[in-house]
Amino acid sequence: MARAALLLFAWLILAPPAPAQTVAEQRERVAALRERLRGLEAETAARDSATRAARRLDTLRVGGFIIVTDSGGSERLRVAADSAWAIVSRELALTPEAFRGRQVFARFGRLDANWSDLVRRGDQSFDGNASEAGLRSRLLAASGAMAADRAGRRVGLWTGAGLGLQYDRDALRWRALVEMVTATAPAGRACNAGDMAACADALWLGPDADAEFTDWNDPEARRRAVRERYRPSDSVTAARRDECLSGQSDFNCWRILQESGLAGRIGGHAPFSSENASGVLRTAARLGGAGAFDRLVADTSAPLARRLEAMAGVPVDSILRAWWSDARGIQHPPVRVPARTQWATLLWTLAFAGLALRSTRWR
Amino acid sequence: MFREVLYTQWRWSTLPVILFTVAAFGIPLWAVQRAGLAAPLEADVVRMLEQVRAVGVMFPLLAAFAGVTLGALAWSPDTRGGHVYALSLPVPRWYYALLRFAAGLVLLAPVVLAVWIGGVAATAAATIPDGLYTYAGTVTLRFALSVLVSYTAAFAIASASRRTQAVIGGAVLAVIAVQVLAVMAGVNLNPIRWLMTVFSWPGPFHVFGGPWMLVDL
Repeated sequence: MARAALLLFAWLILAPPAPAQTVAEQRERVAALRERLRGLEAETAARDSATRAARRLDTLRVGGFIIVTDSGGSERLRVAADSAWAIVSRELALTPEAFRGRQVFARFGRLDANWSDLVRRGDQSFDGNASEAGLRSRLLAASGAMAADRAGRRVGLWTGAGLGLQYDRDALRWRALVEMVTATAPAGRACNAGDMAACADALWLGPDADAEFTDWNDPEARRRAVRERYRPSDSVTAARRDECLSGQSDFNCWRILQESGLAGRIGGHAPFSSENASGVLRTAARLGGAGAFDRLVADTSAPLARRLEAMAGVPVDSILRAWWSDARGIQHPPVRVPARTQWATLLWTLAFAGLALRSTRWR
Repeated sequence: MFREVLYTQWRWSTLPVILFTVAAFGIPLWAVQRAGLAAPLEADVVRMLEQVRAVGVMFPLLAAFAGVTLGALAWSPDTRGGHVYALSLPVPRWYYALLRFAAGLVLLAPVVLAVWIGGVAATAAATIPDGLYTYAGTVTLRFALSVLVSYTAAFAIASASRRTQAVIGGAVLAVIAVQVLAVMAGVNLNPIRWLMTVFSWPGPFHVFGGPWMLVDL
């Protein structure tokens, strides 16, 4: 036995190294793996298809959406999906490939205990019993979640859940204008005055932002944020805070940060909210045009500012300038009564009064 | 003589004037009820502005309602009594109508004043974040002009003959009927839009269309 072990040891030392794979061999293996992946995908699709057929499910393909539904092909769902895809592809420059392998489940029938075994990680599901507008908004939320999943946790936390797709462009512009004008933090005020470096700081895109952001999002940083910024209003919230601070419940730390509105602001203490971050993301997508989202997700480990630059194809200053100008340019009627309106109203008043007084006879 | 006309008109319009005045005072307070936080977050500011915008719609509605009500009330007892009282007075018709018109304006003054007082009180009591401004004076001016023009228009219609009133009322009803028929027949015709041009420049009610924000950027 000892002899055999000795021989094995000698062979391991003396045996020539295994020949390195050539590039051609590596390509061949990659191709084989791809082929196997395609085969497995086809096998899964066939199995899912059989399951759906057994359960009388339909699949709608609209834009990049693959929607599995038990509605028998609802026209309302198709129209809502069309409209949702138009928004998603316009606002985030998504291509149908972005949702490859992801499915959306729209359930119209009664609750089915076996339904959930079809929904895999990364898929989205919702109750389909809603108006067309309701379905569109559910599809937008599902799209946001799927896109955020691809964009990575950093982007998801920066822009808030769903990448802010639930807001229309004018709502985001209005929000940006209000936050700029009412900002109390120096960075917010300077951003309002047109300082793009300050805008970057206020939007958590400064040089140290990624490090601080990561820090704030670990449990200890959450506890510190609650300790420093949160004042409980009653015994229930005080108990939650105590559980958070003692380390018993990280969930309570999240809950406090969410419910108090602190988590709604980027990094917990930046001047601008996550809605403004989604406004910047969408500006970058607009500037970048076709393939912008793919460039954003190409390297999820890069700093956020660099990823936005890759997405837009221009420096981050230019993205912020475009976002800033867009917000400042929103149509906002001044609160005043123009002189011409005052004069016109008085002239009309005189005209009406003249009509009332002109007659000399009783009627 | 003006005092007598004013007194009789006040007796006819006591309840509406009191109700309109109370509403005019209350609307500004309602508009800024969300502006009570000492250190509002941005989300609070957005919610407050949404509230100010939503409640601001009440100002033109109140202006129209107050103007039309008092304009119509100025003539209704005369119409019901066959103008006997007016005919017994030794004054020409235009002079009597002028007295009625002026009396109605005096009765509308407390409503306009209540908007201003309510606006000043509400914006003084609320915590308005930096970067936002209050517009109690501007909203009051817009309200006063809106009340004035709607009151005068209603006063003119109410002073017209029954035939003229029937023609005006019939024309409005006809426009609505044509609109309903056009929708039912699927015809691309929108006469209501023509009617609504009175609310755009240079229409008589253009003043109603401006921003009614008591607090804004």
